Amino acid sequence: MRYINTFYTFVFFVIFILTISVNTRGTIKSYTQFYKADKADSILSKNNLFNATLFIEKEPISIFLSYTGLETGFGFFAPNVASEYITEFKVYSEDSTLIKTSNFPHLKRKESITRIKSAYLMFEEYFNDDKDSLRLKKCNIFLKGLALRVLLDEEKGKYVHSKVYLYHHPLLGQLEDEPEMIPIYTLIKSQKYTKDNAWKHLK
Amino acid sequence: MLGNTLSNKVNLEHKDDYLVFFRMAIALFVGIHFISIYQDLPYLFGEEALIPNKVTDIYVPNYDISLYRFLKITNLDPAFAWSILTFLFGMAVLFLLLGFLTQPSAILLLLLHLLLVKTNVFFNYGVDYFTSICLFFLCFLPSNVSMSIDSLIFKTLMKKVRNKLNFQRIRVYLQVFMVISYFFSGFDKLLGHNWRNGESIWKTLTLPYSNLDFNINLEWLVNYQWIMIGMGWSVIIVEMCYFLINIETLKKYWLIAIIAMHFGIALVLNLYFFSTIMIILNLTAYYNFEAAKHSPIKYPKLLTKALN
Repeated sequence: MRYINTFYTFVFFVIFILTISVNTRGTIKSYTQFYKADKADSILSKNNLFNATLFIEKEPISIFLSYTGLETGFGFFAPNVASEYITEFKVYSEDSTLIKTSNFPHLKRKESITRIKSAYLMFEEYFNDDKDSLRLKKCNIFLKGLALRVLLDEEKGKYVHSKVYLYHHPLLGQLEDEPEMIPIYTLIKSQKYTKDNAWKHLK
Repeated sequence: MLGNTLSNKVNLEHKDDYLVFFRMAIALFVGIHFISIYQDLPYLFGEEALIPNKVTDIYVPNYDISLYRFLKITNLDPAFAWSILTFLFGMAVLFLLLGFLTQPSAILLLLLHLLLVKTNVFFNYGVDYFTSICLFFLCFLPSNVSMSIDSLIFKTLMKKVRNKLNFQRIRVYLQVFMVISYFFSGFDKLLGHNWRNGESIWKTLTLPYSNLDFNINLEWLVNYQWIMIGMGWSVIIVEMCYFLINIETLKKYWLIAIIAMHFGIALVLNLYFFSTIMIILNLTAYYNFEAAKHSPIKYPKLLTKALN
């Protein structure tokens, strides 16, 4: 009981050190990867501050960070707001009649949609040249999961056409030059799935 | 005069209203947040997850716990495991709210929260990390010294703890944590050129999935770009210079500004839970609960007094 105040001082001191280290590392990493994407790895490996905070990736510390939520950097929407991706699912019946168009699988709560949307950032992998990368496969699995959910929710649905678009709303600078400019939807992935493609555990 | 100041200081040192608020607000928050996704749990973290759990498991470090791993090890029936998790979750929320076995309840709730969110990390966002952080704080903070069942059961112990603890100092630590968090949040934005020229604010307002709930017409802003440049810089300054909230004369305005910013995030980006948890943290760190308690129930006055 005598040292209880010292205990709190110590615990918070550790929290401050870790928070500063995680965020310093995160800031350097996100800045370099955003502005110097081509040579990010070599720049990062030479950055002294980045290397000095490497200790947070050592196992006892990374475990602590993971279990306490302190692993996160606080640079939300930074250094710049990321682009969004839009999905479109068109469900067709056996005779190829369009029976449903939707942007998301049917979820009952808005908060669930917010969670699903947070995973949409992974679609940027479709710009990756390495077609065999694990990340790209993960994207395909996610798209398939979304599409199958939409399809399986429609009793009469036979197959679903799924599309992923990159959404670009005109920037302020662009609207200055061209006030009538409209949003651009760039198709980056298109895939058809049938009910036979459904994973075993969903059938 | 000096006597008065000293007694104020002693008073402050033993005031734990902010911790009681923190405990209750976080317990309610975690409970409501869980309910808000409960019906969709199978598609988010359950057997029918939109990204199969065995795929996301590849991306979860070996040392992390997840419901998927737990089920794999124990071979429990998933439906039974979900019922147990839901029951324990509910109990832990209730215990934390009432301040019964407070720290063990917080530990249990943190573990259950992690079991859930680590099952599918791709469906996590800022709110989940802040929930973990808040629950972690509640695992060791003395939030049960008053207004809790613990304080009734362990009367003598709690009295001893109350006399020994410097609650004001603990509050200062929470304030420092907030200052660090906001500093990095603002600094990272400062590094982005689009935050400095208003483009990021414009982009945020025009993202296809934002502003869907209230459909506020914001297109007119395109003719007043200086507003967006101003908003971008305001966000940077309010966050990065959050430490200025500690200047007594600025405290009221800074707290209002940061809460207004989070209201804005809730309204425009529809990130209600994220905004709520940030507002809870801000109020815990800086709201003057003591002044609010002694004010007559006239809300505008109460707000002014509490913020002073």
